[in-house]
Amino acid sequence: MEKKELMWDYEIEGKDFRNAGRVSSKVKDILKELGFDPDFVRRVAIASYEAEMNVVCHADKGTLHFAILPQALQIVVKDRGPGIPDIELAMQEGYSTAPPEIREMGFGAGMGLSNMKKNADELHIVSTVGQGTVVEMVMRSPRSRQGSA
Amino acid sequence: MKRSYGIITIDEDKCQGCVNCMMSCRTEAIRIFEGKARIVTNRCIYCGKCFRDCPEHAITSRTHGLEDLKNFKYTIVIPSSTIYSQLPGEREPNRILCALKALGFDHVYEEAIGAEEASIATQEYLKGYQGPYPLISSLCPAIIRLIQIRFPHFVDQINPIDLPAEIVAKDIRKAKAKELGITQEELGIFYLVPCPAKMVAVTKTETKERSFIDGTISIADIYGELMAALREVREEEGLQKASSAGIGWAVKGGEIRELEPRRWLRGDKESIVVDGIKNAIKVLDEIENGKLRNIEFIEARACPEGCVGGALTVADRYVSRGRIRKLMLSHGSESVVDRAEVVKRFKEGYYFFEKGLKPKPFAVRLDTDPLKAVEKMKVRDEIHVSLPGLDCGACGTPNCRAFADDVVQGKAEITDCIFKWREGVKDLAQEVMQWAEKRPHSLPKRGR
Repeated sequence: MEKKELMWDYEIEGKDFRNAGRVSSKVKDILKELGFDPDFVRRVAIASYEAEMNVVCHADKGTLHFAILPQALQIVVKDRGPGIPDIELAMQEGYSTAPPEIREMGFGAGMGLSNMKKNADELHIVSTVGQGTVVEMVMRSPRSRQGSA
Repeated sequence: MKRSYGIITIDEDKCQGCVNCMMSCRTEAIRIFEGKARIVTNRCIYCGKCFRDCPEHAITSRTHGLEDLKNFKYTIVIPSSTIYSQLPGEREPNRILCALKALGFDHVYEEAIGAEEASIATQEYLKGYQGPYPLISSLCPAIIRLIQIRFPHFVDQINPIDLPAEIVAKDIRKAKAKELGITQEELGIFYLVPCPAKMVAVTKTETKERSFIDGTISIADIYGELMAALREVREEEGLQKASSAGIGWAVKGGEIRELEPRRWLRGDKESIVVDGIKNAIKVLDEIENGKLRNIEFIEARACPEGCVGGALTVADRYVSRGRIRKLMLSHGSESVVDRAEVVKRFKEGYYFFEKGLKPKPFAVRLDTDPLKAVEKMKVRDEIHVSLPGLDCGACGTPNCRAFADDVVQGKAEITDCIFKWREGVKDLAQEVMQWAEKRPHSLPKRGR
């Protein structure tokens, strides 16, 4: 059963590159503060950053939901945006639909989804073209470091 | 009264509890308690920034002084290359070394020679390095400690090549004792340091069982004597041997300069130089968040401008940087260090840390029970939002978030915040007024 105290919800603004990364940085800070294993925190940070950046690059608006479950960590990123027509194609490294101006800023290299897949234990994507995308990631065995403080 | 925190001492008679040090500390390692600054040692990275920012000069550090030389039969000083930038009138490096020796040492060997060896060793290390990236310079002990505490998973990405001063001490220790026919205990090797971080790195070394150096002496502590010695010293030839490659390590960019892209560094990635702790935290944070990518090497220095900006130096850091750069131009790159010999030793593992650095993650644990910790985190965040957000420091913590941490842990009361206290007084005053308005029926109405 999911306990309410172990859930956080954040909003993500599309096209707001100055604040891009802020939400995943908050997720990272919470996990660090709770004393999770540094390598685990890094994996979560990268995966959630990629999901956040997808919303910033492609969508108008989105949310990041983050929950600590007894055996795993769950991150759900939802957006209102163009959706992904061919998820399998989008999963390929280097495939990107990011417009050139976003690529010029150093984003949109087409590594987002494959980076999420690499760092998450489970990755589920549901997308409706013209409406938006839901990305769910599960990261397992977030063992807490005892007595590291 | 003086209170010590490892190598750092706060003179509480001088300390006015003015919050300057607390506000300038980038790792939030200082609190003001009962009118005096206190150091939270497991957050302190020994950078010495507070030494400079204390208007009363109440914070200092020291491990050894010239009086410790008498405990040894033969003494050697290894001066940090920053010493070449410290003296007015752009003194010749060789003359500076002669004056230093005249303070009572039997010999002087330059740290810069060790830097030249470290450069070559790092070049060799890069040849076979396959990642993870970025590789992080191991020169600045304050940055290393920052990584151990705040970015623990980057610990394995610290270049495992030893400090230049340790390399020099290792080079000379055995050979010199043998040459003189004395035991290694009778030989005293002192390192003249520009900062407290190097003092800790040597005296409390974590990369080997025992340092090759016996003690550290602060540049600031012997500055006056060195100036006096410079005036009358009889010069001896050839003490100064290091080239621009080694001397350059005293300033930011000096290390990376020796690792030219496409020769040693791959060059298809970026290599960066960052100075100042705030900037280093920002860069490391962005790398950790995945925002900054494709970085191959980071030369990070806690002090602005590099070691010439160290807390135990005396001259202005910008002038010092200029002096070092002039020396880099006037000194060729021809080195007395035998490259083939360094490569050979590198392959034997001579330059590596003997022990790996360990992560020392530090987080304020609000509670040992994770569920309760999360609950407290949320209460903390609510308290934080209710605070004025001025980060004024009047409560004795460096910012409102840290204060909220203390409140939720019961270490502070909400009324320790001067603004919350004021609100409380206002509410109380209003209540008193309301009570004062109340009159019993027996009395005539007011105004009659």
